[in-house]
Formats: sequence, C-alpha cells, structure tokens
Amino acid sequence: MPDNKYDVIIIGAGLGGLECAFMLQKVGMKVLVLEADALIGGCLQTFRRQGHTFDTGFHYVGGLDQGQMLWRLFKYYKLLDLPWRKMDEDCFDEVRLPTGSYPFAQGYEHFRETLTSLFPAQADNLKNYVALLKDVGDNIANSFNPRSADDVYSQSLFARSAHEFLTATISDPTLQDVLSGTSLKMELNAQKLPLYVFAQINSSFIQSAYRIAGGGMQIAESLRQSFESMGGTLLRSKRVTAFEAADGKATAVIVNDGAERYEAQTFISNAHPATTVRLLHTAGLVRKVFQRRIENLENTFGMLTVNVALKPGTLPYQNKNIFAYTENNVWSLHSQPRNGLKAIMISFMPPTDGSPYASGLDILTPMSWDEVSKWFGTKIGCRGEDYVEFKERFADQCLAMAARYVDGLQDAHLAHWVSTPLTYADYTSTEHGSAYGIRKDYNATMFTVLTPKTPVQNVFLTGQNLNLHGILGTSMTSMFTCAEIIGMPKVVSELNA
Amino acid sequence: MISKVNEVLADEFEVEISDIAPEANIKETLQLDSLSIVDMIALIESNFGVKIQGSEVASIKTFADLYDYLAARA
Repeated sequence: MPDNKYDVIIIGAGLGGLECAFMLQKVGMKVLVLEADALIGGCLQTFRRQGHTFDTGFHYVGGLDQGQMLWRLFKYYKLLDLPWRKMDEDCFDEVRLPTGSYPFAQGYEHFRETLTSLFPAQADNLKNYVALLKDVGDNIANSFNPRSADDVYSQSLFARSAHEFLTATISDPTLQDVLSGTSLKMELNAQKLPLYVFAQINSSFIQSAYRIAGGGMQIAESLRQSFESMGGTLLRSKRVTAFEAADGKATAVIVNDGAERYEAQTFISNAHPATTVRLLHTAGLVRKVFQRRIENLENTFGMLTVNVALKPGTLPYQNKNIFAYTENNVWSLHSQPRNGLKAIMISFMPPTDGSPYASGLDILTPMSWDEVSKWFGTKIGCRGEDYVEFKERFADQCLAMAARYVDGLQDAHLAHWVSTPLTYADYTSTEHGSAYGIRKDYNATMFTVLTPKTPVQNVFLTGQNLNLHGILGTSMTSMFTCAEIIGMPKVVSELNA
Repeated sequence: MISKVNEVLADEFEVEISDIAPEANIKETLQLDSLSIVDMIALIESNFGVKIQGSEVASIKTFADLYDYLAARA
C-alpha cells in the first residue's frame, strides 16, 4: 500500500481514539491516527508548572482491582504497569454536607456496612440500593456477549430516571444526598440523568478506586508507545478539515485545509460528534437533518479547576477525594442559577517520590458554558482583565471553601493556576468545554445515546460522547466501535487472549 | 400545515419538494433507514411538538398518514 493509504484512519488521539488504534493495529490493520493538537491525550492531557504536573480532565478510576472490568480492559491495553495507587479502602471518597462527614468505602459490602452504621434505619433500603449497583456492575461484561447484540438490561436502565430510583429506594433525604454526593463526576440533572449512567459509574468506583502518580497523560503515552511499536503511525498537529467522498462512502481526509491528504477504507472519529457530522455534511455524506439533530444535542457542564502547588513537606497527602457542599439537596445545585459557590471536589495528587506529603491538589467546581461564553473566541492568555478577575474570584472562593475541609491548606499554598470550560474547549477541542460530553436523557434515549454507527457505512464514532462517559465508559465504547469493524467475536477473543 | 410539513422535510432531508405527494411512501421518498427514521421523529417533534411513539412509526406509511397523525395530535 502506498504511504498515504491506510486500512483505518482515526481522527483524534484521545483515550477512545488511542484504544481503537491499539486494537485495530494489533489485529493486523494498517492504522493512522491524526491529532489536531500538538499534544495527544485529549481529556487526559496534563500540564507542568514550576515542576508540578497537573491533570486536566482525569482524576481517578474505578473497577481496577484484578478481574474487574477496567482491569480487564487495561490488561489488554498493557496499562496495568503504570504507577496506579489504590485509594483508602475505608474512605476513598468523603462526602461533606452541612449535616456531617460520610465516607465511601471500597467493596459493595464494606460500602453498605459503613453507611448502614451511620443510617441504621435505612439498612434494608441500602441493601436494595447496593444490590442494583452490583447488578449493573456485574452486567457490564454482558455487553460483549456476541449472542445478545442488544443488551436489553442496560437499555432499560438508560430509559429509567436515576433520581426516581434513588428517591424510591432511599427514604432518608440526607442519605439520598450522601449517595449522590460523589457525583460531581456526572451531571445530577433530576429531569434527565439516566439510571444507567448513575449506577454504572457509582458501581465501578465502589468496586475499587485508584489514582495514578504522575498524571493521567501516562495512559495516553503508554497507548501511543504500544501502538507505534506495533507499526502504527500517529501524526500531531494534523487537523482534519474535510472528508472526500465517492459513492456515498468516505474515501479520504484532507488535513490542515489541503496541506495533506490521506486515504483509508474505514474512518473512526474520536472528535465530538457535532464536529464530525459537520465535516460529513460538507462532504455530502449526511443530510442536513442528521447534522442538525446531532448539533442540537446538549452538552453537560464543564469545570472550573484550581490547580494548587503546595510548599514541599507541609501538607500531608490524603488518599481520598473530598466532595463538599454548602447545603444539602445536592440534586438542586444544577437546576438553580449560580448563587455563590455550592460544591467542590478536592483531589490530592499522589506523591511520586514516596513522600507522605502532597505536592499539589486540584479543586474543581461545575461551571456551565453560559458563564464563560462571552469570552469565546478570545485567545488563551489574552482574554482580558475581566476574565482574569472572574477566574480569580472563583479561585479565591474555591481556596477558602477547601481550607474549611483541609487543615493547613492556606499556609501550605505556594501558587495556583485556574482553568475554565473555555480553557478546556481550547486545549481539548471539547464542545463547550464540557466535562462529560453529550447530555444523556432518560426520556429520549433514542436521540441522546449515540451508537458508533453514522449514516455513512465506513465512518464510525468513538469517545465519551457515546455510551457512557469517563475512563471506563470510553474504554467500553472503544470496544463497541472496534466491534463494528472487526466483529464482536474478534473483539472478545482479543480481550480474552 | 401540510405545506409546512413538506417544506421542512424536503429541506432537511435534501429531497425535491415535488417528490412529496400525499400518497407517496415516506420511507422511499425520504430514503429512510433505521438511523434516519430517528432523524424524522426528532425533526417532527422539534418543529411540530408532536412525539411519534416508536410503536406507531410502522403505521405511518404515506405522507397522508403523517398529516393525519399530526392533525390528530397537534
């Protein structure tokens, strides 16, 4: 095959793109990955400031104990040797509400017993709650069963309301808040959030929770190295600006407005579906009606993140996340206009040198695109003084709130950097700087839960905008995307090899 | 309403408006497959506020069926 002809071209070197690249190259296809940015990794990107490595989109993973779902996937992708650090078994997440402190313990039974001791009257309800989470967690592997192309169980949970399940199962409002309290890693929208998203993500972290020392970018770098060592090609700073088409199929992509052209039999896009579909429509491959439907899908909120560098040897490392709320009723946070800071997540960076002290931590709070959209189109570093003031005001509030839950934070603070959904949009090409991609709606699963298929028979989608967001969701979706190309039996035999 | 429905469908599905006739088959005229049926349902809902139930899609065969369906619910 000539140099610019490939079996598969993958647009975007985020987690999903790199995983698909790994598997398809491994089964013998000739794969090219085109990354628009100078950096690979997408939401896994890290950045360095004054000797500290900070994460952007990645903080921790669930389900990485031996035999669990992410462990199986990461074993295949040769990612288990990275410096994973298991979080505190008795309290990997701490929920802080005005009414008290509530630990999330690892393991379904340990989790249930810990909360039952704090809410003895809810013992039976907690049993039912944990039973559903365990069912959902156990069922995830059934998605790979080639004989049941339709995973009816998951689909039925996509069409159910998370909030209705929670309030019907747990009668104590404080316990409802506690069980939802670690869910800044999704969008608690009572009118829309599907039970599947809520249950699968909570379930995977309760199974086991891990951080990585040195930043999530190592995941992307490891996948890239494996892919290249198998003969795959990855090119950076190559933005796909057009598709070429013939007979209703895509035949090639044009890079950087015509500078280069690459041909392939099959294409996978790890870019946002709206971006992909715009290009497909311009090439005459999809109709306006499809483009508009995908473009009209809403995106979940983004994050304001304060990355804090700490004075060495001053603040003990905490092997847990803290989710703090200024008021109970955590599901109402996203339905009301902002009135001050109401919720933060505090995530410590694991020391890379075995020190008992933390070198840095991140403070995150949900932020909608509307709050920053007036600065859209400005360039990084030149957005104006009002933007800097806006960011610093939030940073001060975040630091002050975090100091209430982390003793000694104010004295240990060395420096900090602030990013918003605008920063995220610019660095990761994420639509509206969204943290978790397209907003799924249990009332409209047919429209909001996208499959890898597009109307073009040789163009597929992958990434966290599809089935389920986060590391586990994206890694599952990579399997589904590859299955469209090489068949599910082949994917399963790869995974079990 | 009929002309508005025809206009929206022709524009969004990129077909000639003259191909849309009351007795014409929707699936053939708009070249619908399983994915683009979802497009049509979404389009009708966002433009006319009528939610076509999945179980009822099969009974809407011609454009006349669609007009009747909308007239009964709009």
